[in-house]
Amino acid sequence: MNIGTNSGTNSGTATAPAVSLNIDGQPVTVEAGRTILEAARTVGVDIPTLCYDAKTKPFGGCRVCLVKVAGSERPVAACTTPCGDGMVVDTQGSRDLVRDVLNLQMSDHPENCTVCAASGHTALHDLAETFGAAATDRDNPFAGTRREQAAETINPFIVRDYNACIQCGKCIRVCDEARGVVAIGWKGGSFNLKVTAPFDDVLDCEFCGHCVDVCPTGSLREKMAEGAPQPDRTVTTICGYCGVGCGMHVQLAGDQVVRITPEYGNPSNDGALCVKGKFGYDFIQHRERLGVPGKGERVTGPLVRKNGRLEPASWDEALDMVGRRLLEIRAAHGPEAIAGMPSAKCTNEENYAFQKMLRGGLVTNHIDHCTRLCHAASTKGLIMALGTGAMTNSTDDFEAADVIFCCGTNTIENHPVSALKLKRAVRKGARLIVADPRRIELAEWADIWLDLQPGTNSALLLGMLHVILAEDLVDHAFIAARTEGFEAVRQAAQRYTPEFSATITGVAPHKIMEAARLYGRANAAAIYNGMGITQHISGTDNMLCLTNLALATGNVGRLGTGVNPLRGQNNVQGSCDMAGIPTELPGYQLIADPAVRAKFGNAWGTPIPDWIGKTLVEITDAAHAGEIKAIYVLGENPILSDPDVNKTTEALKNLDLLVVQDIFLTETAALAHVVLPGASFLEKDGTFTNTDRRVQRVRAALPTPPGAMDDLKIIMEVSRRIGLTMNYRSPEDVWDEIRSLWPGVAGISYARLEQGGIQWPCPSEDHPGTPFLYAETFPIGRARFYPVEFIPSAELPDAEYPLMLTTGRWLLHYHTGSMTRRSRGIDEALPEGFVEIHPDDAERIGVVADQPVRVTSRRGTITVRALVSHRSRPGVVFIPFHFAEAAANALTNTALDPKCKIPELKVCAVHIEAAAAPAAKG
Amino acid sequence: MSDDAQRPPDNYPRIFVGTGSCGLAAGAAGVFDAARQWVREASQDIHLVRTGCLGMCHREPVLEIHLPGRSRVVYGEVRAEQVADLLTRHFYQPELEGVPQVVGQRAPDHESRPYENVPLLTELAFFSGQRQRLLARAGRIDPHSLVDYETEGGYGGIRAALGMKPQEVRDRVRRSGLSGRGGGGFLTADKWELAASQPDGQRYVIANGDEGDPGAFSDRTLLESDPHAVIEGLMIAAWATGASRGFIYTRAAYATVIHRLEVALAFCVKRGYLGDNIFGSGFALDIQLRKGSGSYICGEETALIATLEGRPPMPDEKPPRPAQRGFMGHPTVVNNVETLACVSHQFVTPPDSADQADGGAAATKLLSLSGAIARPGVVEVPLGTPLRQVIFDIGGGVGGNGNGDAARKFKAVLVGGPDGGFLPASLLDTPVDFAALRAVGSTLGSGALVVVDDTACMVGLARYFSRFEADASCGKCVPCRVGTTRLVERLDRIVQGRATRAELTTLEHLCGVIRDGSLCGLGRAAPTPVTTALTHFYADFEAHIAGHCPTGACDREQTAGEA
Repeated sequence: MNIGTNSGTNSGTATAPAVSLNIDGQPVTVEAGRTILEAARTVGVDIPTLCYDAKTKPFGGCRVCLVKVAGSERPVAACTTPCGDGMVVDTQGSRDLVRDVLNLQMSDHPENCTVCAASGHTALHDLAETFGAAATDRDNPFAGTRREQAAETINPFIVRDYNACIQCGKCIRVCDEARGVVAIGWKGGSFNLKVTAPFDDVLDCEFCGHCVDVCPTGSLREKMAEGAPQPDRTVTTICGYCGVGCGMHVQLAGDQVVRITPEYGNPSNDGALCVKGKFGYDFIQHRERLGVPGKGERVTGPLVRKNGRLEPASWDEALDMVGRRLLEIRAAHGPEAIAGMPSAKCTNEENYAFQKMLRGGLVTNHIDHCTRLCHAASTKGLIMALGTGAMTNSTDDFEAADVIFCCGTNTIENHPVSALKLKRAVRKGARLIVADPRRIELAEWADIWLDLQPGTNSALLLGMLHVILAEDLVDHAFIAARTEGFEAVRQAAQRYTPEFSATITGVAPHKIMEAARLYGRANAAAIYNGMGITQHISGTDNMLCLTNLALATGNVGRLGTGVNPLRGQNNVQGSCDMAGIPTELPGYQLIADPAVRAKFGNAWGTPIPDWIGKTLVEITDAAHAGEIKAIYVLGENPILSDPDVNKTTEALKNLDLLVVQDIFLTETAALAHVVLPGASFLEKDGTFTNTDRRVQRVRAALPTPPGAMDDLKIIMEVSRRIGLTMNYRSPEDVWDEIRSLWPGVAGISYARLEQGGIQWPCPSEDHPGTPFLYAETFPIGRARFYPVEFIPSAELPDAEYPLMLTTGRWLLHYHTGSMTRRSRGIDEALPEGFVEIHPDDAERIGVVADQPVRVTSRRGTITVRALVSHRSRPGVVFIPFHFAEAAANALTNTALDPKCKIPELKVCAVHIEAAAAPAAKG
Repeated sequence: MSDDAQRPPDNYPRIFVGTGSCGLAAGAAGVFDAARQWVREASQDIHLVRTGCLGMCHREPVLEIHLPGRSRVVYGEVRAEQVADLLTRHFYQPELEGVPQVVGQRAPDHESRPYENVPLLTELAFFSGQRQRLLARAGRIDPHSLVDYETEGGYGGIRAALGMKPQEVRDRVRRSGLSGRGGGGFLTADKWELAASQPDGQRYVIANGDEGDPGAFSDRTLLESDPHAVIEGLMIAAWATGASRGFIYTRAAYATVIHRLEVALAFCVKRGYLGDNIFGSGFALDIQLRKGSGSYICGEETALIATLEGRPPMPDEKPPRPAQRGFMGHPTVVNNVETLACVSHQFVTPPDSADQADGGAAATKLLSLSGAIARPGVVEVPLGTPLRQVIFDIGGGVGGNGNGDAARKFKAVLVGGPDGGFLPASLLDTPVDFAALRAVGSTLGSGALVVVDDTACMVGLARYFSRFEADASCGKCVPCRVGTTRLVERLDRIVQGRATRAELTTLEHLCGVIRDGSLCGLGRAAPTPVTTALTHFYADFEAHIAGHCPTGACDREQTAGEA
């Protein structure tokens, strides 16, 4: 992750003096402090290593990088020894010694190494061959007894076969230094030194698999790859889970995925993945996958509802029915009766084609999708204040900031790989402020944890602004030169003294002051936010509080600053960019602008509806009311993701036509009239845009299953049947059309993307892309301050519903669980939902850990296991929304933020009671 | 705990009981209790004092009596039940001739009268070859007492140093020629200069008292007997290098050392000798005591730092040296406790000639004598003293009440712990000196001398110490982790008479791989017991190849193992 190129201000970089040395006859000049190994690599001299990992501090244990240095009485390890001026290095001079070291190593490595599953593919085996080390004990002068350390195979993901371990410690070091997890360490010493989980217990960690990816032997292996054939090809693509956008190599044997490994050099992840990206891909082969031939209950192709039941149908029958019914409904009720939900999981190209079909073909603007539920407030607030609805900066800026303010983002669980940059920044000395009601792991990393009551963000942020104004920590020059509306904000903040703010938020006044001073005095302070800010009726106001803070202190338009909503889905940035929203056309070009409509109308050869469409919850409300008759859902599961499950279900049942294009028969698809099996992310071709606005190339590793169809093709087929013919031969054709209509990506071609992702805006082919926005200007001229007042949440606890419920995600799972709950390992690791409850509350209610409880709100009831934990504060409970059978959104409130229509998913009132006697502990 | 605030007047009679680890092991606690009982019943005021060890481990438990106006008499091998009679006799019938426990008397000062027919300690063979500087107070003073220490000039050294600029302090240490006493033998001034020259201003000093070599116990004796000398040395090191925090790191198993350091440090803090403004100079220093992590490798400075940081005890490759990048990445001076005692000594008592400087001819070194030797103990000899003189004149040669047998002959001496390997009789004229010992393939190391008599088989001993090295290996690097275990396996075959002559060649080759390939000093020195045994006692190996153990020791051990 750009360790070398980080020009972070927190490290106070002084240019190190250079040293010159000679390596194998070549003169080399490097900055002082570089090791011989690093210097050698700059001139292409390859020194072998086993224990070296560029992401961690050098170890020096494997001794295969021993080189001769003139004047030194013994060989030195190239990986640890700093270059000295005038040093003369002979990398070949210690070959015999290295061979003997490898002989020693092989004498304690399984003798069948050369015929094991990983044969020929491990660094150890390759080196032993290169150096002529003994493959068998018969040839090994140092043969002897071997360690006996039992393999562990019972954790869900990783085979830990310690007889093959060479104690190089890479796994331990990446777990600590690259991941900040420290799940494993050394046990004992000498010959029986062993890598273990605490107390030599079964591994129970985040299961990011980083240790597996760096293991130089077959000691750590993916359980999923056991028994699989050797891979014969590799496809590089982008992970289909979250918005981080990790590059990954899919190793394949024929059409079987053997394993997934991280891409190095991709700025999003550079060699790291999380549990979902590394191990969570097997849902694509799950027996419930649509369109895959097989025995039993499998759905092998499209489904059409006949006599109230979903029955198998041919593709022609299904597609014809979709086209015919859409046209009939439009004819009968007008285009306003039709709505579409594009998908943050699909490619830019698919989303573009989908909204084109709806707008150009069906002439409706009722287009919205799950972005409404996550970051509608972020985009709305950022567009109002700064002009563009995306992260101002990048996740790389974690490492460029002096002070990081994480506000309502559980980054470590929800953006685990971006969090690595954050953790590294903190370890290098950046200061961290975390505002979150729960004592999440991120809070443990913080200098200041602002433990606010849910729903009181604006009061907290106004309190901080008050201190910044009172202590004159503002950037007067920036305010004068680049903003407007400051005075009104100054007045609005006046009454929010830390003491007053504390009465609303529950955060101690001194902590509010300290946080304000830390943020206000920083040279570069970056704000990152998540849904803790947005999913409130005050979501947009909260966001404006953040932009006010950043503008007041001049923390916009520079490296390591900004206001950065971390986007949730792999392509939610792209699905918004592609106008999967009611008010804009691709590239945030306003529908209300006749010139914009004319541009797109001309390009598409269709009229563009000029009215403003409905937002997500408004669409379901309209369906409930019978105003909207048809909804076409592309890869979304609104029943679980939208607030108030019961109401959403009723609304969808009320439709004349529900079309669901998905890879599983989700809770939503089960209600559909037509189900169209689509392609998974590993079968897609096109582009995703990650949370950094980085457009990245997605490549199909696998063919679409026989009974399924490529999503772009489905859209084109439906589009043709409603009278709008699209003649795209490939996703690249679609992308080129996008480029021609949105100047922000005009410079991004597929050819350029072969070299790596590019961050928009990128107006021309010679433009490098834009890591941070607003260096010179704002698209709206001057940035705007907006005065904000604190508004309490719509539904607060009362006598009947005495607890506050907040919702969110859990590291292992993803969104509505349609993918992760069909991944064997992940399901094994966390098979069911829970309600996180503080011990005080648990005691008062009379429940103990693991006991089933009934959670009831004004909208519904679920039964779920109690997780008694100090992570939640007293009076507040937390439920992740991944689990259909215990759906958090059966309880949540549909109250909307009037500015951006985001529902208040983060706060509602509930009542909890014991559902049964506590189960005996097994 | 002795507290100077409750200290009886100096004209009281005093009884001293050596309650260092060696004394306690020999029964000093019982002796002390018996003495206390006698004092309670005595009709006069008596000051009963716990001391450290004066080095005569072979005479423990040691009890000393100092009557006003008389010289101080040392009794040895005192049993608890003898204490009352012995004290009564000394106090009331001061006729000491013929008392078997009398070891000798300390030199009387001008106000006191010696006893007739009792030898001066310095006339004893054990002491006459020694030159005691660091041990001068050992066993004589109350180790906790600031008064005792300061009466001897203690904490005058740091006061003097604070009157100098740090650079002047470093220069003076450089002129003294002091080299590290922990085994490396590097110039102390070089280490200090390297740390002081780093741009990073956050620096640390660490006193390394993690003494782990088999047969080494001089650090323990020093810390138990005279802890303030080490603390003062660390203070001077901190001032000289610009450090504001220090650690004293010692073995967790050294319970007495830990207790004495805790008390001594607490007194320093209470009196403002440690703190924010030491002696009004503005110099601030905090010293914390740290217990070692129990692993042999913790004595290696980078592994020691690793454990201080909370990492497992594994060494890091040097360079970068700790003085460049040590504790938490900051410049850190790690000095052996004996080195620091030398520092405080030379600032308390400035050397008046080059001859007395620590690198000069009269510089001294602490040695631990053990094994098959007549007079085991801790001794201090001028650098350059031949091994023969140490072992035979001071130590009394083979036998005595050590593990040896007086009828046996000298066979070898293990010098400086396993790292130094074995030296045969033919090299006994090698002087105790860093360079001279290196020249014969050994090292002064920890200063441990373990004497081996001719009942021992050198193959068996090489195997024993290889096993020690294999167990002590931290496992970080391949040559040491795997290599030392292979060494033991190969030596097992030789000991059992199953090896061929060709295997001796492989054995030597293996030793070379471990020596050249290992990461730290421990690994590089791990084969030394084997290589020195091969060099000097090849006949023992040949005998095993031929099928028999020349001394029968290996056969006896195997029989015992099977029994």
